[in-house]
Amino acid sequence: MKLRNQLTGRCSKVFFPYLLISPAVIYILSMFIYPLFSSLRLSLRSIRLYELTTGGVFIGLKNYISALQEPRFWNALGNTVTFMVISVGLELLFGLGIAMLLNTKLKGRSFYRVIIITPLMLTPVIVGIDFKMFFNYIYGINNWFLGLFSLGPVQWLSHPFWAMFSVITTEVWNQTPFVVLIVLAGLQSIPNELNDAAKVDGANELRKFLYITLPMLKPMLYVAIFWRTVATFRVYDIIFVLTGGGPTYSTESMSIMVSSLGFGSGRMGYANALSFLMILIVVIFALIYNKKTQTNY
Amino acid sequence: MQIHKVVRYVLLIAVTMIVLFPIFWLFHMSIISPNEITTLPPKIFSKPSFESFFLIFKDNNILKYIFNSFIIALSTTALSLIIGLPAAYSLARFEYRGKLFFSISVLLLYVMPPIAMVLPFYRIFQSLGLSGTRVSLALAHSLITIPLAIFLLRGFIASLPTEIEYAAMIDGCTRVESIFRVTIPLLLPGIGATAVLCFLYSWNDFIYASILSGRFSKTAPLLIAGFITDKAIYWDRIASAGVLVLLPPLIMGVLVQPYLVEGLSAGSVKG
Repeated sequence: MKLRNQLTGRCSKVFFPYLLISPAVIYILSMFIYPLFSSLRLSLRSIRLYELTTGGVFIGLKNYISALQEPRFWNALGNTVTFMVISVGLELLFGLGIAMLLNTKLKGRSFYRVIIITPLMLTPVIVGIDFKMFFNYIYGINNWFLGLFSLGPVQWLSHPFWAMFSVITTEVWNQTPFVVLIVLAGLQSIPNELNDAAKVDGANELRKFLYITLPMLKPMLYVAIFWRTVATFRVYDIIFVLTGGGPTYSTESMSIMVSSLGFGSGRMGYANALSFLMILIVVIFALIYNKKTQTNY
Repeated sequence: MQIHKVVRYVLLIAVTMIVLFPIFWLFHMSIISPNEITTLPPKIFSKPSFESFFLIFKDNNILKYIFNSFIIALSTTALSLIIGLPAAYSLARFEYRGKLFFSISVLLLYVMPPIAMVLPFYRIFQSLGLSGTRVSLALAHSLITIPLAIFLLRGFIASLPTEIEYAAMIDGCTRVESIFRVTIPLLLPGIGATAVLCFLYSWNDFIYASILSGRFSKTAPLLIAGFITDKAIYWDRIASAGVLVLLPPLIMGVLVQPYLVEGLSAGSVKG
């Protein structure tokens, strides 16, 4: 009995939240802060894969400077940004549309909802390989289908432009349901009275959408944009299995470049510098985005 | 009016088919005989053959990979819930110094590109003697699933009115007791949804697994990716292995889906 009263005493009231977050803090310190510093230290050295625990020479910021001067870096960054902007844009467009579709009073709509959300759950690697079959030049379905209309076979995965197209298509198919989910959640919180009142005032569907739905969805859209942008920036799985970086680096994303340089070529110091630049970009984006949109992530 | 509805139905069905077709095709590829996979025109109705399923069990030992994936995903989920639930509760219910700092740290943790963490992880695990173990993969996966769990659980907890906990405390419970007796039982759907998402992330992971795994910890996605070799692509094995590996995500995704929409709308949109 006495113990019970002690737990509600002032002292424990103050400490209790800190107690609750202590496992998380321990994890963050050991698996986040420490590795980050380790990575930073490695990035300031010229060090190779085989000498990770033993060697390496301190060279200061040389890795960073050569990274910013190397065309491959800017190519990867450009690819990643292109991939990011187009993918997120399409996902928003389709996601919004599909969510609006699912939100109407159609028969069996929860059944359709379950099906349409499914691609999001699938393993990206498997999705990528599945689509790899479709995009195959010789025996893929896409070219066979085009052939039915006498349209030439397309080099889906071996032409720089089409490779990016294919990769984006796969990503959009895989991840649009995420936007659908978020928008659906947002749509459910829009009070019906608003739309009814607008109807009484003579608004048609388009006006209702533009002036009621869209503004009320803004917080959710900001959330969706944030997560999708962060996720597409770090894209790896899908591009790796579809093109491995594309015909002559045309689909090489930042993650693939870093992995290739670090574990492929073994230039660990350089790779760590590159990854630190990635971290910088992402952190700056996260902080600025949250500030500007006051997104309740 | 009529036309509107018809258009909506048509669109809905079109979207559903676009969604279903790749999945259907994977299932289809896994059931037809291997040499028919790459023939054109695509044969839809042909004699089913489960040969590739037998092969992936016999030749490729897929059970081992699935087992590894399962153990790692389970560990990741357990770790994430144990660490994430208390942290989420503190974020949802309390105000304290450093709360914003902690909150931002969790966010930053989530946005870290995996490749950026894989590089130091590789070296750290190597020096700890943990390289290639399932433990190291579970720890690595938790990097993403712990913030995910915190974010989701915080939303779920915040949607529960505080009055019920106070009511329990008035009736004689301590804070801790009220959490266990009142909050957590009400939270079970949310915890379940969170657990499923954590499990899925770990199950589906490729980048951490491809670099940090060793002989005894290779996961299922690695096996499937490994069927793409320089010499040939073993579509039949890819398809059948893919079907097996996709089953947990498919089933769990279907089960958890209603809770997600509910949880997202309850927790995130507060105006």
